[in-house]
Amino acid sequence: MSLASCQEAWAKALSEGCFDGAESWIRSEGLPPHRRLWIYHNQLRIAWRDALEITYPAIVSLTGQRYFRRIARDYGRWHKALGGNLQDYGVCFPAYLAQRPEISLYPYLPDVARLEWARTESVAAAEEPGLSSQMLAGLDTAAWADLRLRLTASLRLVASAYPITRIWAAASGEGSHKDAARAALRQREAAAIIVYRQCRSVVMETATPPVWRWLLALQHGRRLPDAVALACEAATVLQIPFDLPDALAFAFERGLITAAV
Amino acid sequence: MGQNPPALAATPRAADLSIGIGLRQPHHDAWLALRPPVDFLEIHPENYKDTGSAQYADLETLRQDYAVSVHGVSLGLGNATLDAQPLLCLQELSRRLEPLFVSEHLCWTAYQGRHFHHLLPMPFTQETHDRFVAHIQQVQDTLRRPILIEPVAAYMRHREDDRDEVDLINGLVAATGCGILLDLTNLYVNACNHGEDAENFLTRIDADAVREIHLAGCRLNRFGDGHMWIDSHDTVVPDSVWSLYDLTRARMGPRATLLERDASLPALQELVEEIMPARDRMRAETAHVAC
Repeated sequence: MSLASCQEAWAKALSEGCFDGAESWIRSEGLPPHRRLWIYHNQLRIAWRDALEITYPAIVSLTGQRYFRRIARDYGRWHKALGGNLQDYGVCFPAYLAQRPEISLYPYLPDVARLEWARTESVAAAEEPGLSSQMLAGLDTAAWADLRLRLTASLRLVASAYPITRIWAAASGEGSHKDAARAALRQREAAAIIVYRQCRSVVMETATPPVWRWLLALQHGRRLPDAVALACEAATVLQIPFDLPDALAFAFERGLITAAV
Repeated sequence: MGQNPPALAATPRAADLSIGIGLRQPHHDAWLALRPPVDFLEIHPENYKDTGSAQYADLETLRQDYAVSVHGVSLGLGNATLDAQPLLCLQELSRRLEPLFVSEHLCWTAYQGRHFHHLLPMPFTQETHDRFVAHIQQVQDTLRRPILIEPVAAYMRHREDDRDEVDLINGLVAATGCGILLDLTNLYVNACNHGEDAENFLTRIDADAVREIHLAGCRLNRFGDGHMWIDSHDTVVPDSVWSLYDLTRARMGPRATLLERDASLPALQELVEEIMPARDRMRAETAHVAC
C-alpha cells in the first residue's frame, strides 16, 4: 500500500465526506476509524467556515449565520483550494454564490461578496506612496501620448447594478440587517466603487462611471490617452461628463497614482 | 542533492535561553506599543508573503527589537511534491529576516493540487522517511540553512506504521542534519490519544537536535463513544504540559520556548504573563548551574 493510495483515500474523505476508503488505513483503538476521520473532516469544515465568516461578515449578516453555514459547507465540497494559505480560501466564494439557484432571488449578494473580497485584498496589498500631482508639471507634452499611470496596489474596482456599498453598510451596522439592506436596495442605484487603503484603513468610495472606467483602463496598463478614450465612451453612453483634470485630481488626492512610466 | 547547508550547530546556543510568542495579526498594534519583554516572535510565512504589505512593515519594525522565527504551516513536507511558489516565498522571507529558526511540520497538506489547510498525519514507514528526507533536503538546499521539523498532533495512527514516531524523527535528523521543533502539547495530546509514553519519547529523541519548544493549549472533546484530546491553540497551556516542559529541560537542558495561541486570542499582555514562567524556570536553572 503506497502513500499515494493512502493520501488519495484521505483526500476523498476530507473533500467528499466519503470515509470508506480511508478507514482501512487507520488503526482501530478506542475510537473507531470513522470517528477519527470525522474529527479531521469536522475540524477542516470549521476552519474553512471560520475563514469564510471572517472574510464575508456582511454576507453572514444578510443571509443569517445558519444559512451562511450551509452555503459554506457546500462551498467546501465545490471549491478546490489551490494554495495552502487559508486567507485565500474565499477567493471563489462570490462566483460560487452567483451560481447557486436560490441566490437569483437576491442577485445583489454576489456583488456584496465581491466587495468584501476586494476589501480583503486591499488590506493585504503592498504599501505604496502616492505621487504628487506636481510630477505631471515636469512632463514634456510629447510624453503624454505614451504615458502610463501606475495605480496603487491596494486599489480594487467593483461595479454593480445594485447599491452594494449601502447594502454593505446596512449589513455591517447594528439593528436589523435585512430590513436595512432592503431599504438600501429600494434606492435602485448602480454602483461604481473604488476600494483602496489609506492610513491602514480600507476606504470605499463611489466614483462616476467614466472615472471608474478610466481607472480600470489604467489599472489594466492602458496608455493615458487610451484610458481617456474609454472613459469618454462611457461618458457619452451615460451622458455624464468626463473631465481629465478632475479625474487626475481625484486620483492624486487619494494617493491612487504611484508611478508614471 | 545540492551542497549541504551549514550545520545546525552553527545556530547560536544562546538562543536556548530565549522565550517568545507567536505574532498574530490582531496583536500587531499591541506588539508595537508594548514591546513585550520576550526575546523572539514567531510568524507563519503564509501571512507575510507580500513583503510590501502593512503587515510586513510591522514585522520589519518589530525585527529591530526581536529575533524572528519563521514557522510554516502549509508547505506540506509529506505531499507528493513541494509547490514552488511557497518555497520561493519562504526563501525570500528567510533572506530578508535572517530568522533564528525556520520550521515546518511533519505532515501532508495537499493531494493532486488540492489543499486541505490541515496538518494531516503521515504513516511511520520507509516510504514516508524517504519522502520527508527528499523534501527536507530540498527546502534546506533552497534556503541554504537547516530547518527544524515539528511532529504534529494526531487523532489516529496508521495500520501501516513499521516504526514509532521517535525512530522516524531521529532517522530524519540523521539523514538531513535538520533540527527538531518539539511541541510539547502535541506530545501530550498524542500520548493521551494513543496511549503512548511521553517520557519514553523524551528519553529517546535526539536531544541535541531539539532547538525549539512550543507550548499551547489543548482541549478534551467527548463523544458518545469515547473522547479525544484536540490540539486547539485556543486556551491556556495546561499544567500537564508544563510538567512535560520540566521533564524536557531536565532531560536536555533549556531550549528556546515559544507560546502558540491561534484562536480566542486574549490581550497580548496575558500571553506575556503566560510565557513568563518559562523564563523564570530557565533563569533559576541557569543560576543554579552558575553556583
